[in-house]
Amino acid sequence: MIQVLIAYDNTPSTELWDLFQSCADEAKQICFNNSIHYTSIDYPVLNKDSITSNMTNSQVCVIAAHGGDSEIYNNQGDIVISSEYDFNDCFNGKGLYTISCLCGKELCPYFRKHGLSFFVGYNDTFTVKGEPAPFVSSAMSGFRSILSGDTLEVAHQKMLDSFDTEIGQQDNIDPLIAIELLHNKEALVFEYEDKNLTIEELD
Amino acid sequence: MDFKLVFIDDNLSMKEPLIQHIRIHFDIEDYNVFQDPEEGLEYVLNNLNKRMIVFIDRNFDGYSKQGLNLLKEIRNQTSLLYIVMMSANPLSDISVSSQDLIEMMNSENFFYFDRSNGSFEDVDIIINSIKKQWSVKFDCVLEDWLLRHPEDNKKEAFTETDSGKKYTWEDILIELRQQTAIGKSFEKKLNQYYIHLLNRSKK
Repeated sequence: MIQVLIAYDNTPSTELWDLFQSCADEAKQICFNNSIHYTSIDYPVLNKDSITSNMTNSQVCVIAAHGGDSEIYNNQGDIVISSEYDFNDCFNGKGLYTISCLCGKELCPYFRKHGLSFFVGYNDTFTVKGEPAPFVSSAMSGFRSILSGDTLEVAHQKMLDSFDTEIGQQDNIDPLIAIELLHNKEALVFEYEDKNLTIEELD
Repeated sequence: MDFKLVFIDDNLSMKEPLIQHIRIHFDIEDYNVFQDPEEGLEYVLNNLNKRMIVFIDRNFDGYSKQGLNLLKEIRNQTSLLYIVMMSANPLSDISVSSQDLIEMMNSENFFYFDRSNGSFEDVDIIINSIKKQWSVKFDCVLEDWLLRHPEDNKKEAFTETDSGKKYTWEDILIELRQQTAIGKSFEKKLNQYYIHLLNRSKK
């Protein structure tokens, strides 16, 4: 049975905590809509140990928190996921779906080298302006597609299309929002080994 | 195209024919001469948000700071400013370490004017070359735009994602000139957006 781990930093003092909360809420809704069981981790137990223990039974980890080139961290600055630590292959054959800045740069290649089946994230900052809705919608569209049973290749294309739709709408409403959405789209890293893989086939 | 002209040279005075030639030929009202390299450097660093060409003597007798030191200190703040290094002696008579030579050659927006052999025409060529580059540089295009459309100065151009701090177009010009992370990131995003818009219209 497929299980998803949803980890997010909703500490009130964390900048963008509302974005992370909205992405997690969206992820939970998507799981519910697809009758997929999920576990969620948030403040104050968002840490490396909780991720490691929960990934034993999960096939996909969605994480919405601040990130750097090679790590994702919590509001205390403690590492949640990093290329520095040994995660005992707990991501081997699984998926990591991040809404975090920069981790597409080094975290993605590290985990993929260690058996991760797919990675979604960003190799630059993930930026938001104004209402979070178009940013959340585009950022979670790939997850929506994966959980609906689409192959990774299809999910990737649907995510790009979702960004284009949101950007196109904002072009005429507020181009400064469109600029930030485009920035996120261009920073998107969506990598996988097998383009025909679906969530049902994850270990 | 208005610009500031700054000379930092211990052997130059306001009446120097070279300075008077440039001032008259390019119709420049805003020009300053500093014989003390520290004073000249301070003035330049305090005016980085202005369009400016800085002529720097390579050798200052009796001062600890030399032309190359000024170049490095300015480059620590911005790579946009145009610097013309000058020498009173022929280039062939100057003993320059290979390291210094490499640093000068690798510096961005950098020119060399040999005052012992160079004519007024040579310095005109340098300034015209700089003016030509200015005409297409993003910060200069924005500056011209804001001069012609002063009503846009105070309009919002960008909001920092983490802090929510808003920047007007006037603020962005300063960030661009000072080559801050905000300025560089904004220029990249805007260039991406132009390409997106031009391509979208061709779909």
